[in-house]
Amino acid sequence: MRLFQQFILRHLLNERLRSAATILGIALGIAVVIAIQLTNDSSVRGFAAAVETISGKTSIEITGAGLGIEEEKLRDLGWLREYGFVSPIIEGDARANLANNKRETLRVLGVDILRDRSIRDYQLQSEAQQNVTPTDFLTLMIDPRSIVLTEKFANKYGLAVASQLTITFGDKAETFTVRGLLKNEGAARAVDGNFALMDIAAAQWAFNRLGRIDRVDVRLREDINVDEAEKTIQQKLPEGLHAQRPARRGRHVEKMLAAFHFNLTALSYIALIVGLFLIYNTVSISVITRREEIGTLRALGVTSKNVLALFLAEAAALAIIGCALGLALGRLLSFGAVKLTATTVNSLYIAVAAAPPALSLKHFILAFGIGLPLSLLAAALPALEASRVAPTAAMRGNDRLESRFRLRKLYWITPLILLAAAWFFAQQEAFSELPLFGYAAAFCIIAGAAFFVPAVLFFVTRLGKRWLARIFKIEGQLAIANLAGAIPRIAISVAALAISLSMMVAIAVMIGSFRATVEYWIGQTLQADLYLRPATRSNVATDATLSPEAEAIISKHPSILAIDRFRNFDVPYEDALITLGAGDFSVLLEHGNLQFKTPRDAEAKAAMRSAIGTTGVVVSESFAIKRNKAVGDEIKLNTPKGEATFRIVGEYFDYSSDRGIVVMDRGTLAKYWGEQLPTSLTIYLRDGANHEQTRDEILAALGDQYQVLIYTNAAIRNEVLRIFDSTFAITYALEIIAIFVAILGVASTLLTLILERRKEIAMLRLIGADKKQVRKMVVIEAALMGGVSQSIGLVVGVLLSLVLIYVINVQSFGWTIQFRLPVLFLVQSSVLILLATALSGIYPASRAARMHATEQVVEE
Amino acid sequence: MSILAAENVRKSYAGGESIVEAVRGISLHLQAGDFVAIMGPSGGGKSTLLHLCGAMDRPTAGTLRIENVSLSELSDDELTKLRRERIGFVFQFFNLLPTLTVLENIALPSQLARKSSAEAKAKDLAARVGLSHRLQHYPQQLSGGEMQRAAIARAVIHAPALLIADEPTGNLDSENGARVLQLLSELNREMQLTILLATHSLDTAAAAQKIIYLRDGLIEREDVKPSTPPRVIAAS
Repeated sequence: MRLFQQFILRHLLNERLRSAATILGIALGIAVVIAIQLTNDSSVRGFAAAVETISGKTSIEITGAGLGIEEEKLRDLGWLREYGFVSPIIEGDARANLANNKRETLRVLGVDILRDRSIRDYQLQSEAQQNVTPTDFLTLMIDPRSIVLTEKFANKYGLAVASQLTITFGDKAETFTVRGLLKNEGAARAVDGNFALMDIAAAQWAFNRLGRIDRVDVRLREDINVDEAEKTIQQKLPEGLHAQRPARRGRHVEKMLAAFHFNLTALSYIALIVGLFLIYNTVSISVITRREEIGTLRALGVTSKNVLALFLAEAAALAIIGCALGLALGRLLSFGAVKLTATTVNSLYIAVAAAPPALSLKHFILAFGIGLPLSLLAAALPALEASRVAPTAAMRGNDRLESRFRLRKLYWITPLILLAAAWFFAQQEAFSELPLFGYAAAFCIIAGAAFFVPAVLFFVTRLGKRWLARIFKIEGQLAIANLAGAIPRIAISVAALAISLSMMVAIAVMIGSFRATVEYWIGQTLQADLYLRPATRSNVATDATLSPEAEAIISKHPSILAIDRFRNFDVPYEDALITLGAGDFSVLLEHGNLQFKTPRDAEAKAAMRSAIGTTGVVVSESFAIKRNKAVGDEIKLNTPKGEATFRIVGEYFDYSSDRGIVVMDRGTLAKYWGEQLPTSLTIYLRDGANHEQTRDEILAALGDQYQVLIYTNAAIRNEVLRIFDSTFAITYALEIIAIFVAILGVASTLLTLILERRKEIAMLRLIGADKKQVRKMVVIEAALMGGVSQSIGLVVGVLLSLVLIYVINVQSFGWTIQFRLPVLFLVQSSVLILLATALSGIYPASRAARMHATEQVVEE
Repeated sequence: MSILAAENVRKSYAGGESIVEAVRGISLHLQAGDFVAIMGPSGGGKSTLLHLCGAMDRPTAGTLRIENVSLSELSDDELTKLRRERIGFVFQFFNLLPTLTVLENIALPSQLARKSSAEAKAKDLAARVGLSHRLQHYPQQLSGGEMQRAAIARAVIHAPALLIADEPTGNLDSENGARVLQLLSELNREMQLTILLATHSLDTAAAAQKIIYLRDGLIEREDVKPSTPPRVIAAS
């Protein structure tokens, strides 16, 4: 321990800058992993926690087939009371319109308060209202324009009992009176206090769900076993109804987000892996700069095992500090990451409160459980090198690395084998709906590239010698000679940088290709002139519908040629949620242009025509790929009339969601689910109609009472691309961190090389190299390392992008993407990387230039 | 012509709380074509004096002139330029750059000074020191004697006025040591090269025309040995 303190800790303290850079590298690596973990948790747990909080003491919930339960069916469910307390529920999102044009989403629960208090706790805030009986509560709620908010929400927006608040349900804005404030207990804790309570009848009216409820919550008697009850209740339930535990909804969401989260997690580990190269570098520096000291220690009787332990302990010390800092930094970064992913999650998956959870024991175990062992692994090689230092050779100081690198067969055979393995893995199917083999293929390509780096450096330093000497004179010649003499040292840093750059290139190519595909797709598919939806409806909150009154006003506009009334909602399919949509196929056939994958052209139109009013459905490509279905196959869906079989007549391209979409004609939907209000309208205008003017006129006709959003064709295209771009913002953010850590690695390696070559640099200074020449030489070395890394990164990145596009993406999301190379971006980023790495050489260069001529050279 | 003029030169270093005086007032004058050896026990100030005379370091007190240019008036960059153009160095451990070939090592000072025809000159010098067959070899592939000859060629490629040699034979066997000394003597004669050489070995010092003995940072005595040609230690 004393030796550790004297030999390692003091050294780390003396080399503060280098120690800090290493700790920062590890901390950033761990921080990114933790931030993504917290971000992923925030969406899944946010939803699950909201379900759990709102569910209260509910043991089992009875649900319908996607659109709730018809109220008349409740009469047949009287027997449920034998199992315990029963409460029918309406639940949905509405929009509170607050002062200063502020808008907040409220999760509204409509309950029969007399029944529901046995399932959920509601504590009113005001003292005068404390100890209210159910009857008092009922009185409080009897007015259909009454609402109960949470104390937290009211305090935040200056509301109190008797305040008036305008709330938009679907497209209708109504004014409500606040009748009470809930304490921050029970269901009121849900969604960060953005929770409101209404009487069930008032909620049915407000949400336009007259005649039906969303579900029935059941709190089982304490003497009843939940598992058995779930089974027996399911058996007794009429067709079309299902019994499940509330937590199942959370699991559905988890499943839905699995691929998105898996890809983010995989990406987050890149920064960590790159960070580990820094540990390798730092311990290498320690070993290189202290060979004489190690030799002295060995001569004085310290065993080689002790030396090994000392340097591993150095890595452990750095890793422990790095991991601890990484945890704190990860928590901070997670706020940014949640913001960056919120648009994606909210647009494509679920509406959740965007706040990362607090750090838990799991995260500590994750940080130290991954960071520490990997750091020790990274330090093992240089530590072993230290333990092998012979006392005499080290004291002489002349047993450094061989200056000339020999190209062994291993350096080109191993990459070839790994490339072949990558090809093999890329041909395999998804494993458990996750592209594990795709990642194995990507890993093989990356590992192959890393093994190939020494060979590339060998050829570059050989072939580039004359060329560089011609451009940069003697400084260029020295720089390339220095690199040639240090290939084993620099190969690791170049590999680390090349890997992170290849990931950036791969992601850029993938995103560029994806964006071009989506742009083409929206250009072809979005043919309508106006797109209209209720103001409260988000892409995933499918419970907001358009009221018939508003629809009547809209359809009267003289410029409208045709309207496709579209309805969509979530339905469970196998073990996940999919989207079921219904539109007017006849309108779509005449005016729209759905892009079919199979069948094509005229056959596609015939297929759609055949589906009008029948059991024929068209499915999105992601549904077909993920569920392994093709045209002609049958699918079974739960309908209020029981399980029904539908036949797939077409598969169309869709990039709006990876959840899988099944679309049927509205007539078919009505046959199984009953007549449904639309969730959006696709409007085709007469020739010559002005889009903006028509939109403005419709909005004016609807007035303040009906609140809708109308996008023109151009606006919806922009909106799609906005969501697209925000989806990949997190990807770029993660990549930039990984590249930053990698560049830190290049600077650290250069510093290692300079310390290793301090004698040679002093010699150069002695024979007349001025400071500027030394600086120039080191900066050229840095730029060369960056240039080689970027060149490898470009080639490997394109290979990786093929795996991403044709394997990982297809297996994760089920999308066909047309390959396209974003040449301009790649050129720009290459120049930037070259500049960034050259800049990273400035500090090592100034260290080198500061080396005094007499240093080392004449000490003997 | 005066190549080196040192007047009452002193050099002290801060060693923790105490100050160590490595050179305590030395005066030394070298004319063109002089070959002077400095001897003395370890810690006597040999290396420090060489650093000062080679414009690698500045004296704490006293004046030092090389070709009548006062070193104290020069900036760091000017000192570098002076070393690059007027001084050559040879060391005990050769200090060739391991990543450069023999030819590149020899040409290096000229290339740093942006001189054209560096390579042609380097080839001539390599032939002069008997290394024509080793031009594309790396230092690790040479023997100690060959490395030192390459180092000497590198030291004189820019035709310096002063050659500083620090234990040039210290790491060589006697046969190679003799060859190196012979080479230095020839260069001294043929090029009128002024040489200041530090050594522990009396045999090596015998090659010089004058031997200066240093002890505790002061000149203890000077022996002038006008015997030319210099004595060759072992018959080659």
